[in-house]
Amino acid sequence: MSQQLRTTRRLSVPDGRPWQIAGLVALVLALLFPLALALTSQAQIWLDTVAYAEVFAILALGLNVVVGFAGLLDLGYAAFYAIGAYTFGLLASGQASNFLPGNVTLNLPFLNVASSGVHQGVHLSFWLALPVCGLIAATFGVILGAPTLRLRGDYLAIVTLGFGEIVPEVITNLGPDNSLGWPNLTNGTNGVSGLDQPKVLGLQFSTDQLPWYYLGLVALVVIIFIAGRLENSRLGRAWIAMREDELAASCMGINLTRTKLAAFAMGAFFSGIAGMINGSRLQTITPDSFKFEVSITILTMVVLGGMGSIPGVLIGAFIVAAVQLTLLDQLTNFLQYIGGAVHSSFLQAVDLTQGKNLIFGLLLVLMMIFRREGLFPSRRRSIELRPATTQEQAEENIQLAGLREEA
Amino acid sequence: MKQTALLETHKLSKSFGGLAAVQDVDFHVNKGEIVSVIGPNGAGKSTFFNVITGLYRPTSGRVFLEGQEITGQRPDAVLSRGIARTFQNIRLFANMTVLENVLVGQHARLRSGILGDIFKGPRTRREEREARHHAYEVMSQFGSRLTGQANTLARNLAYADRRYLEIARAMASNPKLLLLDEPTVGMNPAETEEAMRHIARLQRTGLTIVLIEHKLNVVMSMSDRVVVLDYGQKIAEGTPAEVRSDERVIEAYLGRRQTTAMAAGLATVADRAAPDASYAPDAS
Repeated sequence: MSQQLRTTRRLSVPDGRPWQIAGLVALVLALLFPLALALTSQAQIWLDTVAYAEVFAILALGLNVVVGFAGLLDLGYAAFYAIGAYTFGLLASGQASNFLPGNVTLNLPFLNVASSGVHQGVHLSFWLALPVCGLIAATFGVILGAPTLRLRGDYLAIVTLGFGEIVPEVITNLGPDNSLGWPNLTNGTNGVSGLDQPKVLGLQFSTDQLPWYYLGLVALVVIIFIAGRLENSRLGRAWIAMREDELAASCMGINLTRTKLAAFAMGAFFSGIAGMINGSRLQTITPDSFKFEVSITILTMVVLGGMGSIPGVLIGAFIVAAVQLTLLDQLTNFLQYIGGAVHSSFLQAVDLTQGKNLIFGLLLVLMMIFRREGLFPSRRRSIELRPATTQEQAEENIQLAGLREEA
Repeated sequence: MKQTALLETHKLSKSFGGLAAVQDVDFHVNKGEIVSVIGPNGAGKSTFFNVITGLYRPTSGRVFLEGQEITGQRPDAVLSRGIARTFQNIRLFANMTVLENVLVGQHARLRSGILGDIFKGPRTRREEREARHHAYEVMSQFGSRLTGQANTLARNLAYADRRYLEIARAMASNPKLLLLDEPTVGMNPAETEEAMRHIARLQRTGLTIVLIEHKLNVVMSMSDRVVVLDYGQKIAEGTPAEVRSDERVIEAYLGRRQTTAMAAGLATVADRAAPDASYAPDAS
């Protein structure tokens, strides 16, 4: 029995050992990455790009819980990204001074917030705000998830799409002198600025991107760990079972309400943390940085990498982020340079960054035609999405024939 | 019969629009019994199961498990109370392994929450280990059919093995009552024989079983009691021998002797008689 159990444990992790080794290698490389950059003159630009990519990777891993594990297509995922960011805006900037009379500052020893500037508004330590932003986003995940519980597939997608549009709209309209007579929570279209930045043991985070890079890396590693643990757990099994056959899952004792909401909450939690980190890093948040486009970009990462596969989604996130954040720019510059050299006014006027959506759209179409399961799918998903082989088809036909005889 | 039944239904009905799929069915199972529910196609047998397990809300009537009302409870709540089931058209989690399927069957038994799942403390680890042991115990009840392919995806199993896996998945929840919806459909005679032995053995371990079955040789040889449904109504109930000689049952299966059979159309009659050829000699 124990022999049996041992083999089982190893095999029941479908994307086992090779990925673990690859992950460790990647981690070591990631730790050393800034050293390599030190040789170039553009280290800050690169670090900024990669730190942003890390935020995207966190988002993609969160969406992967909802879409990949639980099979709930969420097209409004950026809403929770926004909620995390704006929660931090209220908890750690001067924004709250617009409607709160006093000032609140709450620091942790060695981990206090930026002490630059005036201490108006609420200034909760970054590290205290971290779980708060995650949990508030998760709460909204449950609130927005609850009405969708009975919906599946396309219908769920449409409703979440609606939520994704509503949230930035509401944020825009909760600015100064809003028609509801509410306090100025969000500063409207101008957004919240002057967000606090964290401090660890005397190291004050600021515009230097190196600490942000490492913070993102740590957050990413923690979230990969959590997602991996969840995948192979009681809850993870329930998610997969629910994705496979809701009715049978329910008859096997899985509470569909709770299981779905857990997925929404978990995904929103990751998203909220990503929003907070990025908000703090950029020090400014505006409503239009959380639009539908962002949801789609994150979904592209998940689909491209392989729904349900943690390594796949990570790779997908970095590919898409690279294309979006730097490759298009670089390519545009290159083409314009060539254009200048060959005196082609067409090439000189090329701007690929304008065609970002076109490129992602094409990418998705091509993926759906040629590799639906993504570049690095989980084994389970790749089987699921690939049409049955002729052998399997034949077996099924035989069974069907048998059934017909019986009936 | 006055002892409290394990499962009891009072005047249970379920209509879909104008169609009364189940009508005023009074039904009970005592602890340790195997009761078969038979009836022609479309008699409402599966609907009856679906109402008991909470997939459908009954239009009227009540369901009791061990004297406690469970009418209209959600399927997962019904399972937690101790009723597990299988489906007529096998509904396994096709892209999960055999072992994972059986582990999902234990979902309601396991306690680990989201934090336990993430941090995997000693309690969660122990629980998962025990769950695996339990899964192997349940699977090994079917010989090496399942244990030998614990890491095979359910969709790749042979047909009969899928049936066993579905039973194992249900058994994993440690139910008091097992509802089997046509467990031998699609099996050849040898496989049917084996399945019957397994079901009989489950009964000997103290499990109570309700069986929907079309193969009358299966029903007659292993049931303690038989309940016959036709057009959603209970038309007969009793020991296999009693039911076998019941005039209404014969009529339901073979049609009326004279004119009605013609009116109903030969196709219907043939279809209804088909489930078991061995029934015909008894009817004559």
